[in-house]
Amino acid sequence: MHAITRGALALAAALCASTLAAQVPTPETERIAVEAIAELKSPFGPHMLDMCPNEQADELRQKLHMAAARGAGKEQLIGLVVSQYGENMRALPERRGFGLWAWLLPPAGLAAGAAFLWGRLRQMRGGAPSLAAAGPALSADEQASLNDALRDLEREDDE
Amino acid sequence: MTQIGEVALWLALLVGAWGAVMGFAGGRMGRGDWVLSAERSSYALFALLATTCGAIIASFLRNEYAYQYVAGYSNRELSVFYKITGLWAGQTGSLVFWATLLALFGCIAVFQNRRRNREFMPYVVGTVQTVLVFFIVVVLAASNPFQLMDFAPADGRGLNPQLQNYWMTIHPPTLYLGFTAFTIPFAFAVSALLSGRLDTRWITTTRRWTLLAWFFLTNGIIFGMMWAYVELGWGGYWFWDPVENASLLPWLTGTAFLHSVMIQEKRGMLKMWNVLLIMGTFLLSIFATFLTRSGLIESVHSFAENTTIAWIFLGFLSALVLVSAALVWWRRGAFAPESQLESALSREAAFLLNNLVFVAAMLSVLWGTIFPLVSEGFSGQKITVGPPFFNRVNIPLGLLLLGLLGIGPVIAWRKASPRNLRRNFTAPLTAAALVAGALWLGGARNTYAILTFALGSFTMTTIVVEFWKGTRARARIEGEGFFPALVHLVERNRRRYGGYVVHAGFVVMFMGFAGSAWDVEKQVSLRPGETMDIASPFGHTYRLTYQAMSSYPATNMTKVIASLDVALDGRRAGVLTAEKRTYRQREEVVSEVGIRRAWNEDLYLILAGVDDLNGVVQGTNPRPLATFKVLINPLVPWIWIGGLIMAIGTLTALWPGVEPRTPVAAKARVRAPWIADVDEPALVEA
Repeated sequence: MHAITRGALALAAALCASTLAAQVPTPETERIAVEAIAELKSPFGPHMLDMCPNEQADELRQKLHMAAARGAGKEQLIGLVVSQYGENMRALPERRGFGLWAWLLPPAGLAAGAAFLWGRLRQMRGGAPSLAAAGPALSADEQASLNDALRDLEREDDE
Repeated sequence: MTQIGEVALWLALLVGAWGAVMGFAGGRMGRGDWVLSAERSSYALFALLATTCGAIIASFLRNEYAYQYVAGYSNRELSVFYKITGLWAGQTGSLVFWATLLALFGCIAVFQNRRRNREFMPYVVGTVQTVLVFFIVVVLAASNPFQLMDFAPADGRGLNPQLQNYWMTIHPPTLYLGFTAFTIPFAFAVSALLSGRLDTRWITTTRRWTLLAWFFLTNGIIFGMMWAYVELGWGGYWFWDPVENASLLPWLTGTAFLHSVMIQEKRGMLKMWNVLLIMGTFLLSIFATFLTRSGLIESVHSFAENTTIAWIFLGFLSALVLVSAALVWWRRGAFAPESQLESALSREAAFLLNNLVFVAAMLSVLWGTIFPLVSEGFSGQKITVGPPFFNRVNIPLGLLLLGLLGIGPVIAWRKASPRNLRRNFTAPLTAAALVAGALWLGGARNTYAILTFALGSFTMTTIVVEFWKGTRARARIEGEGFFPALVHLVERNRRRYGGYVVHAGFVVMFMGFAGSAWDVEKQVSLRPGETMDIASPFGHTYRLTYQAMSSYPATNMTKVIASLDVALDGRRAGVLTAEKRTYRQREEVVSEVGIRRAWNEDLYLILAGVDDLNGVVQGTNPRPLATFKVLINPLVPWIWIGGLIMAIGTLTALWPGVEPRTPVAAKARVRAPWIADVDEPALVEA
């Protein structure tokens, strides 16, 4: 059985079971409804459901708040809308099927960029002449002068 | 007048084409007279396009509804103010306006460089005029503002009610100014490639242009957020709509460019990267315009679907990508860096990481925006990508940037020593830890919000310490008081300290975004006299008492206004009103929200529904049941304050300073010749 159908049936069962004693919304059920609504597109226009000015959208929001008050969870609320209006009501692509590509590419791009950058950094640092190749070791006086110069350089950088 | 406008548009096409050909040919053949002709055509082109704009505005003011464009976006009752802004209310007029702004910037660039950067100018003019010709072709071929109706109606359809808002009148022009201004640095980059002059000169020449474009684009985006907040009536300011995303894309790469050019200026590195970034920024500006104009992606505020425009834009965009790539490939040997990166713990590395994050953010926003199209194309099923996706992907990247804002400007160039790191980061890290701890102890549990405040404090401390150190050093050396020293410090290095101010604004804005972690929302239905309470996360409680509902006709619309008394912890705190406006010409009902602003939060009131709107309008129902949605939006005012700080910082960096004038420079300036007086081959390098 398709997951959406299962979800819708579970929700219907939950709603039927709770009809006899309709629940009063609590902050927790309101939070669940708000979270579910925020992840849904409006079936009545180009907006997201939480900002759609259409009256039918308002009715749907109320319906979801009521369903949450009766004990429906976030996924069940989303499933209810998806089963009624179609899969593209989900504003958050699922992490399976083609939707997985939406999630994979941004981190893959970042990782590829970071790897490229890291490679370039190593290459550039490798390209700089090494100390060993620079010539014979410095004398104590030369080393002291070099340290002074580096300190001056650092001070300049800081200013 | 209107006929003059149409003729001017056709002439503009000819003049633009002439300028483009003369610019490129003059540059290639070393013909100064051709280049001069191209440059002068810039002025003519601007005059012609300004005439077209003037003609469109005149047709609005004179209620000439025989024209489709005027009839579609205006009516007799519309105020003069909105009739003038009708120029950019629709597809057609806004494209002409876009082109006119670009022509203006082209003129300014030509005038500014009439005696300098002569080797760049032929190709700069050629590039700008090519882009202009493209826009004029789009207007003439697919979106003519002078298209006549089959019959002349007595009145027009009127302007979309949601566009009849102050922010909407300045948001599009500011955004267009940003998009178009990025064309100038792009044109200089193309010119640098064609002329082979890929040193830092094109970058230093366009530094102010880039900042100006960034300033306009940033403010255009913020004005759009303000419009969404006050007009769309759902309590948010950014909803990752494709058109919003389209404006963010060039902003992200443009910001990366502003940082990476500093590495090229200081160390002679990232030459190719900088060229690619500015090209990408310009291409994304065109892509943004394409996305808005084509209507290919479903959006709240895109223009109607127009496949002709979509194909023309797609063709132009493809050509631009190919030409840009070919030019970079052609000059690939000229991008050799002048120095090498010495350490991963250096300012160069921090800036590189900053660039990586900006580009990653751009790619993820781009991917999310086009994913519905991609999924439909490949799987046959349109997968919606909404705000939750963008938030999940981009908030971590934003936090990374927030941290880098504090690291980049203070870490040493070349290689940071342990002493440098200790000295610069001990105080900021302590501040970050203290803020995170205080928030946790105060009961905050939202990880992103805590991280935002901690990283924000880290960055803000580095900025304050930088100002403090610089001011103290100057006060000691120059013997000045603290405040004169501070002013002189900023005056002497506007770019650096202006940049710090921009960073501070960015931090404040991010803290404003993080406030959404504590949003409160409540929806109630009330009759007059009834009350509702809503508790703020700051500890106080608002009590709203629904007093009355009134209705009266206004110009162009009928207003239904609900008035509510607001009490804050039992003390009266004013009246808040929310409206339903019925626009007569379009028969649309639009909500106008009421906002009570404080320094730390907004109390946001939406009149979500009235059970008997007609009864209220006709005066037959004195006690209508009204549904109100009430929100408390913590820290939203900080977003606008942050935007203001960013604008002040950018203007500080942009403001022209007094350039040190050496005798040689002064002499050269006096003797700088006019183009016609110069030996042509020496002037123009092919």
